[in-house]
Amino acid sequence: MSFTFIHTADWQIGKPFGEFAGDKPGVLRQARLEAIDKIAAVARQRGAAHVLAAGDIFDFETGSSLLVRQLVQRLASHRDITWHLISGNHDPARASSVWDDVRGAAPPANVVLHLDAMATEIARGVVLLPAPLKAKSCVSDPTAWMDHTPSPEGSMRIGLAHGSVTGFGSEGDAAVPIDPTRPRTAGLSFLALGDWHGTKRIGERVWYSGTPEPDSFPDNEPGHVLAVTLDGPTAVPRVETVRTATYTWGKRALNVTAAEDLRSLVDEVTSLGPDAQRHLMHVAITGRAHLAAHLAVGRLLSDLEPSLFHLNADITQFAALHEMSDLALFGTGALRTVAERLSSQAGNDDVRHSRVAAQALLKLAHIASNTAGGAA
Amino acid sequence: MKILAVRLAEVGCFSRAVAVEGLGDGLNVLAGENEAGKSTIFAALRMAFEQSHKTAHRDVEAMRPYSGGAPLVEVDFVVGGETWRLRKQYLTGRMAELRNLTTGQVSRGTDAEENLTALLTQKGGRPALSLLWASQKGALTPLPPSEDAAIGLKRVISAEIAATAGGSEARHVRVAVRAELDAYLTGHKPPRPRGDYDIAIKAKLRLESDLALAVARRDAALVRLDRLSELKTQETELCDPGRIAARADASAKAATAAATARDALQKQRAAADAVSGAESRLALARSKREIFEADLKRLAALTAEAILDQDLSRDLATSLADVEARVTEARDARNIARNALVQADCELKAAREAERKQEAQQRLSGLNQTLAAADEAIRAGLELKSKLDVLRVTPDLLRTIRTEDDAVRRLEDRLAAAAPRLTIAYAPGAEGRITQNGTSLAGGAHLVDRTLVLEIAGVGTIEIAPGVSDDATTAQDTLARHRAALARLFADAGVASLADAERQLTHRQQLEQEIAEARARLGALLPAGGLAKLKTDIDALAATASGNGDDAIRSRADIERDIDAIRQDLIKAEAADEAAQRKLAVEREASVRHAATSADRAKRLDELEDKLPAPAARPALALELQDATNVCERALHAAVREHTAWREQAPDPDQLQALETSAQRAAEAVTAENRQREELRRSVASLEGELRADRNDEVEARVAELQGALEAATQRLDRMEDDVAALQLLDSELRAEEMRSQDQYLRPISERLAPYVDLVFPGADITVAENFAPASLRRANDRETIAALSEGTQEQLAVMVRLAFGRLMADTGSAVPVILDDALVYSDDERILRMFMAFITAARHHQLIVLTCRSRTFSGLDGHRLKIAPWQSDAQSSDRHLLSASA
Repeated sequence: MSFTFIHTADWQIGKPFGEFAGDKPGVLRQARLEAIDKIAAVARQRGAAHVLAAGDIFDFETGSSLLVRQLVQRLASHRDITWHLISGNHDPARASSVWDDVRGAAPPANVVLHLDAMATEIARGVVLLPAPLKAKSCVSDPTAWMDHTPSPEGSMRIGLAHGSVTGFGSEGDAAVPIDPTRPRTAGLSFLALGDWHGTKRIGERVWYSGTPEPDSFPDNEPGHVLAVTLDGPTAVPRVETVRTATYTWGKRALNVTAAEDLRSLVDEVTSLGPDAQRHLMHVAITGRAHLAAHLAVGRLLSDLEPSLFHLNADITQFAALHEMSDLALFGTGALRTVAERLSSQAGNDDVRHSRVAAQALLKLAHIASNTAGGAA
Repeated sequence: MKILAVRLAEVGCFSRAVAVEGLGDGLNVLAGENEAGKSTIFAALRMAFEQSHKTAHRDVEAMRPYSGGAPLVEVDFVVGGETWRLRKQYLTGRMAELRNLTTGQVSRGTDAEENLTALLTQKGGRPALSLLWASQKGALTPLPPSEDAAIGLKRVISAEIAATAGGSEARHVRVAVRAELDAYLTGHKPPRPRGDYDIAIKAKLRLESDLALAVARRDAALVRLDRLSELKTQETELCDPGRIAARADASAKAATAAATARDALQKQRAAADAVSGAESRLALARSKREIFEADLKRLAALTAEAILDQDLSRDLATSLADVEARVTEARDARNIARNALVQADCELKAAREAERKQEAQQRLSGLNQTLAAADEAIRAGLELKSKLDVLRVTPDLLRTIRTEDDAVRRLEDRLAAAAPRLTIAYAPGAEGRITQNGTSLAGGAHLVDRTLVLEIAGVGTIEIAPGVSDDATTAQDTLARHRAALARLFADAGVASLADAERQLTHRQQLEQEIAEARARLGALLPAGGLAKLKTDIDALAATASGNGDDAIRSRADIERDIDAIRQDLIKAEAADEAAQRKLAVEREASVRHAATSADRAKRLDELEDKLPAPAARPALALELQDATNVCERALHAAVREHTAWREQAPDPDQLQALETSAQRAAEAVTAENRQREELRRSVASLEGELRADRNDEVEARVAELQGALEAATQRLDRMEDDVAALQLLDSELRAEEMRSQDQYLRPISERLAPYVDLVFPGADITVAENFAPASLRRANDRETIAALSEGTQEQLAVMVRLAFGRLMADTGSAVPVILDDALVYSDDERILRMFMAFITAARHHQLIVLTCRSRTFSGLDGHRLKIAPWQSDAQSSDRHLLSASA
């Protein structure tokens, strides 16, 4: 007998994305809700009737009842899927938390709240041992009770928990320690974990699924769920990583000395085509370029911005050269004199003044280039 | 360029054609009254050079005369060494003709206009014409940058300096920078944010404020969540049914124990009260019986006392009568003694009066003797005084006499020493033969102090006279005065010589001594009050000594002894009387007391008889009282037994208090827990309500959203601030560069202006703004803006700037005339004279045409004197004149 389920976590419904302007926050919030539909689709494709969500369902324990109703309705709409939810450090199940509203929303039978550490048989021969969090942090391992909780002989025991597995550097934002050897000590076939937003294999029976919809420019691999198949209590689980992300958050670091150095980035965005509108990109540009090249890079980045859903270009470490050839752009008259003075000030020890002078020089070049008959 | 002549017809105020001919190099002056048409002539000149003949510009229209017509202007001028005549007519008769009088070449209409423009532009004439035209008060108006004249001047300056290359680009860049800065900042000082920058600042502040509120709200919500968890835990504990039942059972048991104890104690207290009542009743019964028995005893005793009392009353009456008799005797003896004493006292008084009279007589005798001695002393003193009064020599008078006497003697000695001394020595036998005034002179020496006539019998006479000298004469006069004074003193003293005076003074002093001694004796005799007091005392004593009074029969000592004896008797009599009185009082008091006691006893006997029943009923009453006492004793025994029994069961007060406290605490604990549960439920409900509101407002999400927004707003504002700082720095640098360029740019003007300024304002310097207007004047280290100067100074500076322009044009080969049309309106005479020097200097370099209405003032200004004259239409003569002028 085998049992296939979907392992997911860290939906963080209701994340506000206040750092974005315009309607982008709403779009990104909506995408997190719609990820549920994608997860349901993956479950159907994989023949999984159960989805195990390992905590941080909500971004905050004070999520609104409207948000709760939106979630419950969306989960309920997938009647063929049973959703098993536990609380995480973002949404601990304590009194009068968001979970009260979830209970108050009278979720249908296919939405199962596991807000107490109590073993439940979710399918024949499959026992779920949930470890919901009731506080934002705890000093003891919430999965420890699994060691002493028996289940019928021959059943497959699945642990579902939210926290940080010590010893592998997966420290998420939860101050909750979880022993990665729990499958061995508690006889678990699989321990499904949440908190780490990237997909991460801790051991053959211990996995972080990561968030199904990315929410930051990460260094890990978000945007997936895991399709897990258990072929028996002791069989090694078969785990498949399935991408679910609607929006792709990417980081790029470029060392630029000439406008040509941005070519790869431009090509990458160009190659995305319309899909670029579902990409968020953080570009950190470093290096030094001639004045004209610096202006050209600025123009390229400006041109690139509307192609993407969001472009965050960090050019604070991208400097302009002020060599004689650069200043020659200003001719020999008054502008040249001014440019030379600004260039001199840009070498000032005062970091702030130096930065302002460098920017003033760039501004001079930019305005002069836009002025008829300008030097640049 | 140089103007030679101007001619007008049908222009402005002129009803006839007029001309100003004969303008020459250097200084030209046209002086005339107001409204003479000076300004009109040169306005027409300007119109000819600047306005196309086809124009209907309002300035041209304004030149049309009131009577109508088409303004005609003809100007002869020299440019580039050639003489030209420009003739233009406007409005209805419009035409233009430019004739080269040197070559005879003529162009008309549009060609004439184009050729004129080319001619003036190439040579720099036309653009500068209006620039160098300073009309009335117009010199104060700066040149608009777009004016052709200003542009032309700039072109000239640019041609002269090369360093301004790039300046225009810098200005364009600065305009763009200012435009960008203007989008960020207002023009206030200091500038204020505006536009997107202002919005970004306010947005950040608003977000910070909102975030602070949101954080507070979120923190409060989280605190509420924590609190709710605590309350829930407490609620679980408090609402445990087992706990509630146990608490209620404990309370009920404690209440029962307390009630039982309280009942036992109440019964014990009731028993104690019963014992106390029985004891009271027994005491009452016993008391009644004891009183009855006591009354019977007292009745018997009083009856016995009444019998004895009758004998005692008789004895008391007898004793009282004896005592009263003794009292009468004692009082008689006392009275006798008192009378005897009074008689003895009278006798003693008489004896004392006799003694005092005798003593007064003795004392009176002594005083009379003293009075006689005093009278004798007084009499002796008066005698001495009368002797003394006769003596007139006093010590002072004697000293004066001595002085005068001494002076007489010394003068006499002096005169004697100076007088001749005659010594007669008789021969034996011749004694006595020398006589003086018939008196023989004895032998020996004689002083001759006056003329001495000696007769010698038989011989004749010898006259001897002392020598005469002033000193001797003076001494003799002085001696005579002193002798006279001495004689007066002797007369006053009543003496004949100094020796008499000495003796008289000695006598006087003896008398004074004796008088003093007599006074001393008298003082010793008299009392303090003197003689009068002595006499008063004598009179008083005489009265006393002569007073009435019988002589005493017995001596005072005898009498006093009798008195002592009588007093002893009196004391004894009084003591006996007092003793008898006391005894009488005692007896009387005893009698009264006895009577009172008897009465009281009788009263008490009556009362007892009244109180007690009849003697026959008294034994029955005694038995009744004994029975009642026995009943009470039995009741008391029963009550004591009951009380003893309850005392063993009842708790002591501390125990009861402990039980009561325990029961109360148990009940309170139940109540408190009930109340606590209610409060908990209310608190939980309240917190849940607040948390529902918190959740509906997504307080945590709101904080995260605001944090993100604030971070983005901060980044955006930081970028803007950097941008603003960069623009400000750039603007500052461009401005600094512009100032440097401007200094360089305006230097050609400044250099040419300096000589004129030095002529009018020695030691001063002037700065010129970019629009060529005077900007400031520095005199004596004080720099003033032009606006702060007087109007006279302002117009002088403006005229000098025009002269500098003219000089610059001339120096660059583009000389044009400078025309000053009553440009010095506000200047005083002294300053005008200085301006004349500037005019003369300027006229060495270019043509200068000065129009003025101040003929007298300007009469001292050298130069060609111009006048407005009718236009001579003789073209030939005019041409000849022009040709000669251009040559």
